[in-house]
Amino acid sequence: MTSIWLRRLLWAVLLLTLPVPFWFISGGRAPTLVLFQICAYLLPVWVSEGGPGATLALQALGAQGLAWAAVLYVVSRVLVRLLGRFSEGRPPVAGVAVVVVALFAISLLPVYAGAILARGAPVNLLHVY
Amino acid sequence: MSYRCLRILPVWLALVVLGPTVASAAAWERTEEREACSEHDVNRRPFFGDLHVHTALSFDAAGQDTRNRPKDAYRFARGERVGLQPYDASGKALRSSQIDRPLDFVAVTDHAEFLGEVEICQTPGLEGHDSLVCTIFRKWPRLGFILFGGDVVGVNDPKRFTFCGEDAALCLDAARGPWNEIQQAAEAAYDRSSECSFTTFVAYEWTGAPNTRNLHRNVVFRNANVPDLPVSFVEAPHPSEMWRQLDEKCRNGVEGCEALAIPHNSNISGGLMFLDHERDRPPFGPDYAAMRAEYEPIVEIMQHKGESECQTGIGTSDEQCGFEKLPYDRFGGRFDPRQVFTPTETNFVRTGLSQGLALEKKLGTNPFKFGLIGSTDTHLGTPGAVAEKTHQGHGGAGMVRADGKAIGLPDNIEYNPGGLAVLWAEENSRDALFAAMRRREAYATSGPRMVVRFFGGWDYAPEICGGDLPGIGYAGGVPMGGDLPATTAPGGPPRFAVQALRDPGTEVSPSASLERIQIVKGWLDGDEVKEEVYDVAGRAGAGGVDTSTCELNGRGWDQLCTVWTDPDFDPDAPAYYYARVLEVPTCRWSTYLCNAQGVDCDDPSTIPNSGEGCCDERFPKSIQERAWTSPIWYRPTA
Repeated sequence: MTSIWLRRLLWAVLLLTLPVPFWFISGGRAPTLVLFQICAYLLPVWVSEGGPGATLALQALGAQGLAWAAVLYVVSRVLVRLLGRFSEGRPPVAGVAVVVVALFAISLLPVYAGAILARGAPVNLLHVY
Repeated sequence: MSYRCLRILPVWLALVVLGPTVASAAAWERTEEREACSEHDVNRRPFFGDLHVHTALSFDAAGQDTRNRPKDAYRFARGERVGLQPYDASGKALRSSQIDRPLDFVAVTDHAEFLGEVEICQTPGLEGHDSLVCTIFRKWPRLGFILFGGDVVGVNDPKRFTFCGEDAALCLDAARGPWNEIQQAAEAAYDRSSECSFTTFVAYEWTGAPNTRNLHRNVVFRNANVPDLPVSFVEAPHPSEMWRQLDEKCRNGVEGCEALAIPHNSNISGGLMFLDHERDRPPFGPDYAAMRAEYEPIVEIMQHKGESECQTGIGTSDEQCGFEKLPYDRFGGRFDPRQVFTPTETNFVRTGLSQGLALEKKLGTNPFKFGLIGSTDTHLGTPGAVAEKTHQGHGGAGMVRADGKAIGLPDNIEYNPGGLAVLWAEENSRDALFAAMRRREAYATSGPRMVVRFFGGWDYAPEICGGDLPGIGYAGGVPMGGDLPATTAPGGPPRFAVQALRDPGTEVSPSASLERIQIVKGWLDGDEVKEEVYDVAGRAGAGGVDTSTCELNGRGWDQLCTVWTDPDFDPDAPAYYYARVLEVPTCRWSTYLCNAQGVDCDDPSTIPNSGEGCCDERFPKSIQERAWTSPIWYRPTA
């Protein structure tokens, strides 16, 4: 696997699992992909129904989702480059694998929260999407 | 015979002749079949209740996973324990709540606008259930709340979602189920026996909030004769349109049907509530004024989402106008920082009362001639849960641990436990209580059950405080909500008899003593509106509280009573007077919770998740609970 594919893999896993702070109605922590998932539902509603509620939600969640996607892209590049220093020039497959496993392990803990996602106690990844 | 005895002689004579019948002179007709109440007091009693209650039938409550239904809310009001969210996977509630003093009356007031929509979204198989909006409502309920609230009731021109079908037929049809449930729950809980232990009203909330500026009204029906469906903001996007449709569908459409509307949350109306015109419409005319006065005899001044009397620095220097204030002037400010504005004078009830005098001069009728009540606006189905010490929030689950205990604060820091409505009535029945609302013989409290009498007349002697206050009060003048009668001594200043008894409290919710009684006067000086606040009994600073322990220090009074004469009376100036009764300072609900969790604002490590409000300096650690009576009006022509 090349470094480019490792970077893409890491970015995808970060988008899928890393709890990032967001604000809508109140604060919360969610994977970036959840923000895009909500926007995917909202977009057709906004087209068909219009209204300030859908507009506000799309603007707020879409903007935060895009911003976090960009940040995580940079993070994945930097991380793969850093891990590459420990793999003697070869793609850092083992290092990335450790990070991915760690991210999935963390995602099984109740680390996601926020009024939109969870009605009460924080939840894990299985209850987010 | 002394001069004082001569002065009160007419009152005593009137009492002897009319005494037993005076209070019932404004009697009401019974409009329903029921047993006569075994206890009927011509001098009336205070009945404590809650006229603003949401259950799982409301879109926003459902979005917060409230599962209590109208019948549960009535059970709760009668003292039974009910479960609260969050619920575990098996459906077991992780929290519960109970009040230690049952209420006398309750109206469940679920939002009319989405009764059908919520039913469709929650019932598999109904047409529209699989729509995208319903999917969002189920998958992300809080987001659904924003869509429902922001796109339908928070706009100028409301329209229903497309999944409601042509002419919204699907949603209107689906609304019949919950509307029937509301009626049946009210009927089942209403005590029609001679015991008269508990009264319910069929009711709903008209939820208009153009551009998120709340113009909300609770519509309360006198008896079980009600329209097929409630008149909602979607069908009637202005209050006057709602009254007209109530005329058509209730008064003229159903035999025996009668309704009134209770405006609330003027504090977050964006200044719309007490303007001299409706949104995008010309100034009121006499017809509008008469209709508003008829349909809206009382206003809710206190509830979960803040107090609406007045705000220090906004048209008043009254130092007691800083009580339970929200930091925004419209509901949208809660969700969108771009909508945070400073309130204006027309956000507040006192401005409404004052503007009413000016409008009466211009139109011949006072459209803002209203009395005052409080209620909770609970969205958990927990009417009367007003204790600061045990507050579990009214607007959702908040942040909780797996065992259901609160992490930090269970509600937004700017909110509060809400208040109560108190009605002076002969008995605890629908007709008697509805008549009390109509004649505005009502008062609001911020939660405590203090008993307040307020009479206005021309001849009250100070001795009536030690005597038959209600008997003399009714015979020699009018109670709260009334118009001062024609004077027997032209030009003489009016006198007001006011009495307050402290809330006796309970073991779970011990009460505080009284600090003082104030009388608030507003009057017209030419075309200028003026106001003055008088301390008439007790004194400021009689007690205090240590907010680190919530221990009270100092002591106020168990009861206060006085007869007050207006020292600045101008017989040519229309005026209103209402009494405000203050308790000594006690801890705010948030202080109890923050103390219990060991929060030290100098040590960030002690601030729990969702407990940031504990250290928000915009909100005080102590409050002065209070009661506000309905006004008594003076008109020079009277």
